[in-house]
Amino acid sequence: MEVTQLAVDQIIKAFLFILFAFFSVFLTLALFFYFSRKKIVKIAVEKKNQEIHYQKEILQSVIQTQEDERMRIAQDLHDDISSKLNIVSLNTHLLKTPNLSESEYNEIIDNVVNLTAKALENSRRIAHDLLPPVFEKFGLHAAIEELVNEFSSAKNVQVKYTNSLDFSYLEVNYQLHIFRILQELLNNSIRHGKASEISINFVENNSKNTCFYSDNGVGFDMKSTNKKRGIGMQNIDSRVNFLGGKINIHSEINKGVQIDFNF
Amino acid sequence: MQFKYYLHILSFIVAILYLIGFKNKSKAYKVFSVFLLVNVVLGFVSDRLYSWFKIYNHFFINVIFLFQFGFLSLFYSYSFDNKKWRNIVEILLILVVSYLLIKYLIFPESFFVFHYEDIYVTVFPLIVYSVIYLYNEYDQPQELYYANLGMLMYLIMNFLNYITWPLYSISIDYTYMNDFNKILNKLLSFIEPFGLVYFSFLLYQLKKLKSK
Repeated sequence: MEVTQLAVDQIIKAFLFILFAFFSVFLTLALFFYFSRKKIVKIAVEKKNQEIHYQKEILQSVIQTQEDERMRIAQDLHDDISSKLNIVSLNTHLLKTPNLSESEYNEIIDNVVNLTAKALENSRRIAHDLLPPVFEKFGLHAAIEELVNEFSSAKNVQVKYTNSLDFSYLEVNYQLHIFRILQELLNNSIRHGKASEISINFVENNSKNTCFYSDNGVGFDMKSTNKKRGIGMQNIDSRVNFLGGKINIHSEINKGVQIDFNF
Repeated sequence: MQFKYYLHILSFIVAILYLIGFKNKSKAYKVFSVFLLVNVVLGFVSDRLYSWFKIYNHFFINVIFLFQFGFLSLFYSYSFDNKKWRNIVEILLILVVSYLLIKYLIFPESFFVFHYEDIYVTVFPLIVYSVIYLYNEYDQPQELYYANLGMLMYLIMNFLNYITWPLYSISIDYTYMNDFNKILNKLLSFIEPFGLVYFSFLLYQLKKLKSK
């Protein structure tokens, strides 16, 4: 009887201890799941905040670009068209002057004709800068070719352009985004990178349409520029985002820039 | 050949694979690799003890768990970035090892007895460390995440296996106790094949490390 009682005591003790051990493991795992869930929610909130911050940055850069563009157009209109039209107006008023000699009359008429021709040419140039007519008529490939020719002839830089893609199936909006990205990249390469050779190559890479862009400019330090990006680069980011693609930028000081983006 | 001997061979191969090229790895990895090898050797010695020396291996579990606690505490101490946790692991390592060694010195007979309290103090902290290691993955990728996941399962299974051992070691004639022990034995019989899952995690971890 005594032995049995001892055994029962042992069993109860063992049971209690096992219960305690099971409970501690259960509690540990329960706490892990509780804190994990909290952490996951925290990470998700942080990610969402980052996304909102990024969206805000994009919106800001879009507004800033819009303002810059308005200012540039206003300046172009003022400098190249309004000033000339003012002189035309002045000259036409001069025509009302009584007793004008034949030569004076001809001179005023010549002035008016010249100035209106220049104003017309300038208005064409402004319109061309806003959207090249070749883009509307012949599509992205021709527009890039024209852009490359313009840069090659006017800016003392050698631009090599190759394309093995068919852009015709892309929506016009998408084509325009690609065109604007290249415009911005070319401007950056010349203005900031002081590049003398630029290469643009459109190929299919890993079954995705990809543009490989590189120059031999002064490059930049990725670490120092990662935190603060210019409006131009933010615009490129947001355009690639609209295209549903990804952009990779690599650069080192004095080793140029290598960029690829897909769409 | 018994299933457990296949497991010994497998665990030996895994330990060797972990040891290959461990020179260039972190301290935590080195400790973990050495632990795997020591664990294989101790496990094999424990199994062969009776056939070699005609002595029962009950006491040997104290040796195994003490070594396991020492090595894995060091592993987690090297793995944790948080100084607070590193200190906790190190203090607990000193306290538990000192307590057990002093206890075995003062009461040598307790070394030859199977104590579930000793198992608790040497295994449960490791389960907690392992869970913290998993949690740290949220902040930054952990070097041996999958190995630790396997280790956590292995520790929980081992813990529950050994902690329930006193129940079926108590000799009693009650039928319901026999029935209970039968059920318990049935459940615990699943633990041995579970070793394969543990090794799968260890091997998957190696594959991940090699592909980096």
